Amino acid sequence: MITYIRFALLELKKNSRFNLIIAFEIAILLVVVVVTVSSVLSQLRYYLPMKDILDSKGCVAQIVYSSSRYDEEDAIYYEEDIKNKYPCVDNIVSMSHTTLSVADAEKYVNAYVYDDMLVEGYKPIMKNGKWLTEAKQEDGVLNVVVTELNDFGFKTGDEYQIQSDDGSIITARVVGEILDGAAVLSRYGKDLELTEIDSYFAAYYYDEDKGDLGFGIVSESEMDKYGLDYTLSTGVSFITVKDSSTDEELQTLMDGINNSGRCVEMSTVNSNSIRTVKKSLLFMAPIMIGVLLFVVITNICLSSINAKKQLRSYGVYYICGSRWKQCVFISVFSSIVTAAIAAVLAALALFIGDKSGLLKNTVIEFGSWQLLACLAVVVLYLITAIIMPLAIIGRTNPREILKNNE
Amino acid sequence: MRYTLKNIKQFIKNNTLYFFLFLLSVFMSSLILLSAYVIYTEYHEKTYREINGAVGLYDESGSEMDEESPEYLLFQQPLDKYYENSMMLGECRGFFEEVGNALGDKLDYISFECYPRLYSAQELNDMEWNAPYITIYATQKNGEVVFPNIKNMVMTSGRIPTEYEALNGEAVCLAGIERMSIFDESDMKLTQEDGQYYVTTCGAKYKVVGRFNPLALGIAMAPQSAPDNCYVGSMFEIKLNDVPTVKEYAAYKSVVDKYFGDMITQSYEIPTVSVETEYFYTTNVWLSIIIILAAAVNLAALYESVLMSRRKTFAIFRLNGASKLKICEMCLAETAGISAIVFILAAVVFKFLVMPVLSDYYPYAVSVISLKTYISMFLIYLAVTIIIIFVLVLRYLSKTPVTLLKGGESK
Repeated sequence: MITYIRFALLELKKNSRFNLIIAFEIAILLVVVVVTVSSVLSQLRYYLPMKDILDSKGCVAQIVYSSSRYDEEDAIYYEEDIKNKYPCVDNIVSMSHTTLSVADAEKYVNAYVYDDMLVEGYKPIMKNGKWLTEAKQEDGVLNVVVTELNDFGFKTGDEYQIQSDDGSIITARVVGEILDGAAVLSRYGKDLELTEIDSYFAAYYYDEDKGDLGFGIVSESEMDKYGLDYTLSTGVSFITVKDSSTDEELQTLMDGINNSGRCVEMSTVNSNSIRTVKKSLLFMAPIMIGVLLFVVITNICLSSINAKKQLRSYGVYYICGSRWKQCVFISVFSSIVTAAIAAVLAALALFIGDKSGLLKNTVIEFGSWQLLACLAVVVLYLITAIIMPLAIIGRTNPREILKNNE
Repeated sequence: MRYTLKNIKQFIKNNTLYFFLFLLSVFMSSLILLSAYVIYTEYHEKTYREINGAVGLYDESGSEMDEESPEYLLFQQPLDKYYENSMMLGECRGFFEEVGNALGDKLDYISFECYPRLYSAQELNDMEWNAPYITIYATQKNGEVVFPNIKNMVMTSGRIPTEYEALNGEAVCLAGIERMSIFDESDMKLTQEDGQYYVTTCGAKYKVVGRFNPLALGIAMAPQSAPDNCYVGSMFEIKLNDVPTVKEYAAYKSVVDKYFGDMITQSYEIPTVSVETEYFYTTNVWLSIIIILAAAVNLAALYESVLMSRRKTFAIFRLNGASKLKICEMCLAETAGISAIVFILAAVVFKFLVMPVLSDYYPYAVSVISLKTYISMFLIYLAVTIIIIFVLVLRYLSKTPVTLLKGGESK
């Protein structure tokens, strides 16, 4: 085995220039795949975070906050109001609202409280800094993300003291800024089409004339940790019911919600969302098919060229005692090394692109899906590295190979 | 030609695999190039048509524009000019620079109308709108406000003010000389000295460096040259190069509000692109570029192997007296010939098999792709292929014939 690995490395060294070109080309393929997958995922970025919850039984609600109804029995302000009144409710994933009072200053920060599922599932386009999931959590510090333009004057890195309801002081740290114009969960219900998940996310622009003066986002778990108060906002709340709940119980819940806002059944939103997703995927289909064909054909070309180049060496190895199987092993191992070099080149290219700002105005990012796609490309390359030598060698004998490849 | 065809025949016979891969690579590269163009065009066409549909755009003669008109992204902002709210140019000079800063490269030019003096409504009625204008044209270049080079400005003679003249506020102007005689000389007066025309207005004398638009009422100049004491007129026009983002538009709007807030009676919304849409299409444009790059590298790698396998042929040619350039010409002719045929085949497949499918997903782009597009793409493809092949062949032929016979690589 070690011997054949040595031979593989020898082959790489012998055709170093050509193998570098192949590595470079595979690196470009990997970058193409990362860009394509990022592009596709950007079309699904609203649906994917909600996929599991939309599959559940329940409803999507939009609670309309009204201070005039505060004392009314069926008024809903907190998640507990819903859970207490309707025992069939299993979980509520919501966007709530709070006002963070800055201690020792006549200033307050209008902030939205995202359920942890929303924080983990959806990340808006950031101007700088980090999203809540990426920022380090420290005891006594509340991480806040603000909009790029805001009337509070806060920027990434700013810290300020906020006062909780019990009078204690907590440090709030701005960990990132959301790009002006990035889509965030819709804060107001006026234009919210509850049956379409895409409408849950609206581009937010700072606009003094319209009273859009910026806001912050915090996570629900941190708010609970520090005992800070928040109420359900006029954004969306996903309410799931227990599996054992009957349709009548769900209807009762929905009728109750309709007194304080409006809601639609989760299954309606789910089916509409899936339709939208299919439409988006169909839109991306030509690109995906084109890239797939390109990847396959390029892999075949590269493997064929590589195998043809190494035929003479295989002939020599065969005469010296190896069999075709070992020759294929040499081909595969040298392909693994080439693929590894390609992966490093691709990672370097994406890193440089990111740091230099070339990728600034794009949706290109690297996550688990992109990694899987890259692995698929590498596996495909290795498979063709196995198949092509065997196909080219066929039933030929080494004497003919050496004669034809002098 | 005969040798080229013989060469191709030999290529097919001795290196069937490479020939097949070469054909496949060229075919695939052609399809990719055409598809990439479709993706690139879709975004711009979609924006173009949605803007046309959303907003009534006017060309400079005031006619409503059709979809074919080149005067796209030209907007007029009416200003309400009453005697009480009149403003002098001197009060809003900063407007030109600030709009340039707000819109950056997206700004083509601003065109601003001023009057030499304040006319009453009665005077304007009596003159039937033959009041002379001082039209200010401005754009930004390297952070400085200059007179723009307006493509469809109808110049009848002379030139536009130079950058130096604009930046230094030289007393020069363009004049619609044919109409100057209808003006009251106290407003705007045309004189001629030693064959050179001059216009006197607002107490200053301006040298006419060019004559423009026979129907123009008055003169045109850069902001720095224009008199402070002329009065802002009833509208300004803004021509963009591209659709601004919401942020850019908000910055532009705040500048307009700052200088003309009270004078704006009819708010004119310039269409904008959302950040998310812009990012998505920028990503796809990058994807197209990277794929084309990959196709080019693939072709180069493949042809490198083709050259390697034909080294003996080249060595024999060299030994028989063929020059490097001659062999290069032969390779290029061979490649160009094969590429042309394969590209045409790919274009036919693209037009009749791929386009009908793409039309459902990219309706805007598909509708503008024409024969001219195919020819342009072919020429670009051929040029790039020839450059790549030329470099590869020349590099390969730099080896001696003996080296080529021995194996092509130095040991």
